[in-house]
Amino acid sequence: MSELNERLQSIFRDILEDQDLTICDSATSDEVPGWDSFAQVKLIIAMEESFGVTFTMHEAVEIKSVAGFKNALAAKGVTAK
Amino acid sequence: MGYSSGILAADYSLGSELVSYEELEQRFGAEAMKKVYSGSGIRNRRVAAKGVCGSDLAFEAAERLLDSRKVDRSSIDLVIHCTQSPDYFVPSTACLLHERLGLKKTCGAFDINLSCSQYVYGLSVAHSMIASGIASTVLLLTGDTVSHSVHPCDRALVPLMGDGGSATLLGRTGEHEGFLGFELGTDGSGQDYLKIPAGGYRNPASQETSLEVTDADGNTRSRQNLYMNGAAVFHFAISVVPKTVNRILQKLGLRQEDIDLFLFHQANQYMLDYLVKKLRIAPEKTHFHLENTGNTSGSTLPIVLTEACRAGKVKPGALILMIVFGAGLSWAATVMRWPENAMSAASQ
Repeated sequence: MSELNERLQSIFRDILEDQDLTICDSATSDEVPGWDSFAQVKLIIAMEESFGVTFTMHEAVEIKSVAGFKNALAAKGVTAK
Repeated sequence: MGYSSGILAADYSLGSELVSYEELEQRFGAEAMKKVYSGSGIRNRRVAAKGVCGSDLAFEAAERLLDSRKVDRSSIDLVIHCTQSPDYFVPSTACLLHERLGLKKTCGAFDINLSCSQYVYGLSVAHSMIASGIASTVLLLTGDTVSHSVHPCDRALVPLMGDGGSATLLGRTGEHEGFLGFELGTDGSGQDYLKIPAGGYRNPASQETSLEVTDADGNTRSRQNLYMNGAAVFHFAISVVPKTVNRILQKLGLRQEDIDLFLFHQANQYMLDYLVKKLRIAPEKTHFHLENTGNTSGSTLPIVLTEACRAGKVKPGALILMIVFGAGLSWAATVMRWPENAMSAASQ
């Protein structure tokens, strides 16, 4: 697992309060238990703080999958190692 | 340069009906309410009974303020009513309130149509009217019945929203007191994130717009109900508030440590805690009041201001920064020095 995936998984586990959660790129907010709009807010804040990036309000709405987060992070210069 | 102006007194009223945590547990389930409470900090909310309008709540607050402070009604030469739930499309609700409050014929009256940011916009207009000499004493009212626009099975909004009204008396102050400045802002690209899509002139109410739909999260609503994209609005707020605080402080040549009290629109506790932490505000330099009232839209700020007065946190000479944000998307901030001639807070 890449460092980026590990960090994302750690964030998802903390926010969704599920230390057994395993995320994959295709996982969406409709599929992952607990990933509701409040969790989305917490995920966005955690990503911003962890990676030192800023999401736009529209990105906060449009990102609905793990791949979506990775793509948005990549567009801000955060890439997998 | 014109006259200095400031807040002389403020008071509020709430909807008479309690929608309790326990009642919503029955409606939405214990697990859902536990989650909502942990995020919003709102346990109970007060809503207006069917048939009660935002103007009724504003009227009640105004009567309380004018009577308790023995204000001479003939001294008021402008009444401004801020609302997004007016009594009628025509005329302005302020004209109805003018009549009910027995104000003089030479007193102007008009509405301001804004959501949660209405109070600071209202203050900015009232201040401008006094500073320019057009008015000397202004009664600024707020009143909304947001709960009447929310579908009873919208689990995202029902637990958050309450109904309230407020009354604020503004007048001339000493030269270096009252409002020091305002910062206003708008981002119309976010208009769809907090909206009642139908029922106005653009999309008139029809059989089609009254159709109820349940979304993937289990929220039921029609296009005639209030809709909020929580993630968008939350992100908007936590982005715009710190920037606006810094901008107004810079504009006025003030440092954050100069401010004695920060008062925010009381949207939800998680957001407020985040903002206080991000701005590094000491807990004693702010005040919250939403756990048993709910988010009363444009009335949350005058409510929390009144409660901060009652708690002894507002003293003559204190520098107070107030900031609001909401549908539009719209935001506004002001810094004021609490005037020596302000009336003391009325008891509850």
